[in-house]
Parts: sequence; C-alpha cells; structure tokens
Amino acid sequence: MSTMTAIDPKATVLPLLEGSSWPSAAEALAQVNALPVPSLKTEAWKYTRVGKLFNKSYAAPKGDAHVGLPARLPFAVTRVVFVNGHFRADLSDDLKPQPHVVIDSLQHHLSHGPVRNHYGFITPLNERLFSAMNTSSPTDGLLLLVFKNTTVEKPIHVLRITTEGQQFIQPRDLFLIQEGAKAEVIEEHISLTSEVTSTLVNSVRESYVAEGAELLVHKLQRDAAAHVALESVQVDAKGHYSISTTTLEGSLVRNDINVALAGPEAHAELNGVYLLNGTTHCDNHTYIGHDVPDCTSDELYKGIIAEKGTGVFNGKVYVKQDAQRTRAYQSNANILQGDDARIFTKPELEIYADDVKCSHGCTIGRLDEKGLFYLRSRGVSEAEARRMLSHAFMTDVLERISNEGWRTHLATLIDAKLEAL
Amino acid sequence: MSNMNFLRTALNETRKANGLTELGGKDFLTLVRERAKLVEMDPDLMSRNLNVGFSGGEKKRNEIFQMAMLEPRLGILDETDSGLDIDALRIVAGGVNKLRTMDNAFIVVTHYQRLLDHIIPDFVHVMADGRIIKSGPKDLALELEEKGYDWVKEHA
Repeated sequence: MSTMTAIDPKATVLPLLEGSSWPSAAEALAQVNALPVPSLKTEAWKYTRVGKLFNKSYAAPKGDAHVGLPARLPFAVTRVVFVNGHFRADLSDDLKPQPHVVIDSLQHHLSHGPVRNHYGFITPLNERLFSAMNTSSPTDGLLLLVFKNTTVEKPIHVLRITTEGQQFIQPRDLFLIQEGAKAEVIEEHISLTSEVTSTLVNSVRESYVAEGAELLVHKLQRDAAAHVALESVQVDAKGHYSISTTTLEGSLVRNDINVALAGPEAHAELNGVYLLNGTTHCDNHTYIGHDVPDCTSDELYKGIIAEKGTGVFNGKVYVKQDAQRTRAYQSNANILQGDDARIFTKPELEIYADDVKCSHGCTIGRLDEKGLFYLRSRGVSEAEARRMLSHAFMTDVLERISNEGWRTHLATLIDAKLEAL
Repeated sequence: MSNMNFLRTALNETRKANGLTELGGKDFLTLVRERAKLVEMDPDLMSRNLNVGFSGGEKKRNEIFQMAMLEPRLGILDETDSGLDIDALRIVAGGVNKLRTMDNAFIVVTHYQRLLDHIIPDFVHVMADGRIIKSGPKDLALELEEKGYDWVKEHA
C-alpha cells in the first residue's frame, strides 16, 4: 500500500536540525516535527507571516569566516564576538576581566552544574515552534554567569556578525545573575553584506535574575537578516530586569519577550524603538506575567514606519489572582509616513486580582503639522524639521537608557537612519 | 529637543540659505551669550527643551531671543502682548527696540495701546475684515484708544 504524504513545509530546515548533542535536542526535534508552522490563523502570528521563511533553502552557519571587526564602542566594554552564531575567542577580548564572572561560549559549559540546573527550564518547547527549533540544534551562544553580590564592572558588548546569506543561525544564550549581582549587556547584530536578507537568525536567550539582582540588556538590530528571537526571563523577588530593543534594519523581525515576575517586588522594564522603511516588518510581542504580589512593570515602545514598512506591537500583561498591588504600565506610540506604511497594535490586559493599577495606551498618528510649521517658520528646511521632530518623538524612550555612552551612540545611529526615512 | 540645538540648527539653516558658512560651536556660543544679554534672556531657558513646560511669558521671551539670533529682515509679532505681565512686556518690547535697525522691519499686531507705550511705532494701520481701513502716525493709536474702533469704522 502506498500513501501520499503532504510535504512538510519544515523540510527545508529539518536536515539542519538533526544530530545535535545539546541537552534536550532529541525531545525538541520531536516537537519540531509535531508542531505546525504558524499561519495567519494562529493568533500570536496573525500579523507576521513566517511561512515564507520555510520556502528558502539554508546552509549550516559558517563559523570560520574571515571578518574585519568594526570600530570599538566609544566607551569601555568587554567585547565578545560571534560570527554566524559561532563563538570566536580569537576576535573577542580577554573574557576573564574579573573574578566571579563567567563570560564564555555556552557550548563549553553545558556539563557544568549551574548551566545544567537552568538550561531549558524557562523555555517551553511544546507551544512555540521556533523555540523547539532552536533547542533542537543551537549554533552556540553566550554564557553569562555572575556570582552572588558581584557587579560586572564593564558592560559586555556582544557583537553578532552575519557574513553572508542563506544561512540558518540559532544563537542560544543563558544569563544567570545570582542574588544581589549586577550586569549590563549590549547586544548588537550587524552584517557585512546586504545579501544577508536570505539568512534566518532564530535566537533564544534565557535569563534568570535572582533575588535582588539586576540585569540590563540593550539590543540593537541593524542587519538585514530575518530575525525570530525569544527572550525568556524569570525575575525573582526584588530583582530588576530591563531591556531596550532598537530595530533599524531587518527583512522580517519578530521579538518575543516573555517575563515572569516570580517573586514579590520584582520589576521589569521593556523599551523599544523601531524605525522601519523599505519592506521591513518588525513585530514586538511582549508578555509580562505578574505571578505574585507587589511587582511592577513598565513598557514603552515607539516607532516610525515609512515606505512599505510594517510594525506590529502586541503587549500582554497577565495578572494572577494572587498578584495584588500589581502596577503595570504599557504604552505604544506610532508615526506613519506615507500611504503604504502599516501598524498593528494590540494591548492585552488580563487581570484576575482586584487591587491593581494597570494602564495601557496606543496611538497612531503623523508628525505634528503645527510643530513642522513652527520649525519651518524659523528657517528650518522641511527635511530637517521632519528629522528633528522624529528624533524628539523618540526622546523619551532614549532617555530611559541609563548608560549615557550607549544612549549617545544610539542617538547618532537613529539620526542617520532618520535621514533615510 | 533642547532649545540650544534647535537654535543652532535654525541659525545654520538660515545662514546656509543666505550663502553664509555654518557657525561652529564656539562662535555660536559667543553669539548666544551676546544676544541673550541684549534681550535679558534667562540662561536657564536655553538649556531646557524647546517649549516643554514653558509658560506663556517664557515662550514669548524665547521667541524674542530667537528673533535676536536669527535676525529676520521682517518680523511679525502677532498679539505678542497677550497674557504677559508688565515685566515680561517690558522685556519683550525692549528686545524689539534693541533689534530694530535701518535694515529690518516689524509688524506688531495688537488690540491695545499698552504695548505701544513701549514700542513706539513708525506707522499705525487699522485692519478690519481683512483690509487696512486707516493709516496714520503713532498718534492714531492714541486716538483709537480714546474713541474706540467704531469711530474709525465710521470715518473710514
């Protein structure tokens, strides 16, 4: 008897996922086989088509590519370099800048206690195809382990370079910030050619912020690859997690941030800036779980969308019945330029506790005509006036970035991008 | 955006349009100090963000300062006296008086004589329904104040 089987759309990536020796790889691969590719009928993917990502052919990422490194950031950092997802000790700084801090390839530490105890624990495999794909065969990633009460002195600059197209790269990071410890990470995605639009970067990062610990992440996407990224975060009592995501380039970008506020007085701050033109599609999907009382969260996302760009914002805040005295704020503001630019924005608050303060708001508009007139009547050209007002629109998100050096650097990059909008 | 950044951009864009070279940071600051003194501008106002949390009086003083920096050949001050207290009025008027030269002109739009005690006009024009219906020397404003607008409408 012969049977006809429909071709699995995942056939393009499946061969690249087999044979990994990472923890839970086999189990994850079984999930990949079982889970369908999300379609527009899947609520969480309604505005972001990922089917086309599976219509392409991919090769395994090239780790030994020769690259010239960009100029260093204009302030002191410990730089860690990944090329096409592979850790490159030869291009990285001395990664033992101080005791009680481990900065290294995650792959080197898979058998070590703290890694074994935490790897894979906050990223469920059974509901999100891309997480299962990542877990079935990670390329490599960064381990950041900061021991109790240690403050990492210099920010860690994670530079992820993509050198060419048609690669399938799966970065996998694990950040363990122990009780009372503090760390700051700047993650930057760059590419060396514009051909990388045909490369898919499917990332997963798990971050544990223990009691009274603090983790600050700044993420900058300015390469043209397709990105599907998940930040899985657990914040324990009095812990503080903050992430700012800036998207300036990318063919298709999907950023999921799932934060569980798991101990009283835990705090999460999520900020985002996206400047989209061409046909760039950027989807910021956040989920904040207020699981216990007295936690706070604050989200501010702002974007300017021009040409045929598309923005998506979906912000879910879930407040459990026990999570009294929760304070959760969320705001998403957008400026559309031109008739073809699009934004889909959707706040979702699900609240089961009765003593909470939660707010959300979203706006979609154009640049303020009165403001433009004010500037032009004082001699400023229209193009310059638009750039100034666009920059001013972003100011309150940028002002939330505490690292002044990075904020200034980012403002320069944003200005350069605004020139192109 | 900060008031200073705005001014520097506006000034350099104006200079560019007039075929002049852009002003560097040091020269710009020198000019700012000189002109701020001229129009009695509070230095605090310059480090703040443009029009963010400015009171009505602060906005207007800031605009006089912008005028001092940008040096327009023609300035239109539309009801610049509304909502100003006496001190602010004196500063705004003083700015206009110090900036007036043989090469520039100001059109001061107002409903009241009060401002014209501080800015002595060369000409007074009365506008009604979008047309100038009467013109005269500075005394016309005083006459108006005394006799009211109905008088001028009847005699137009």
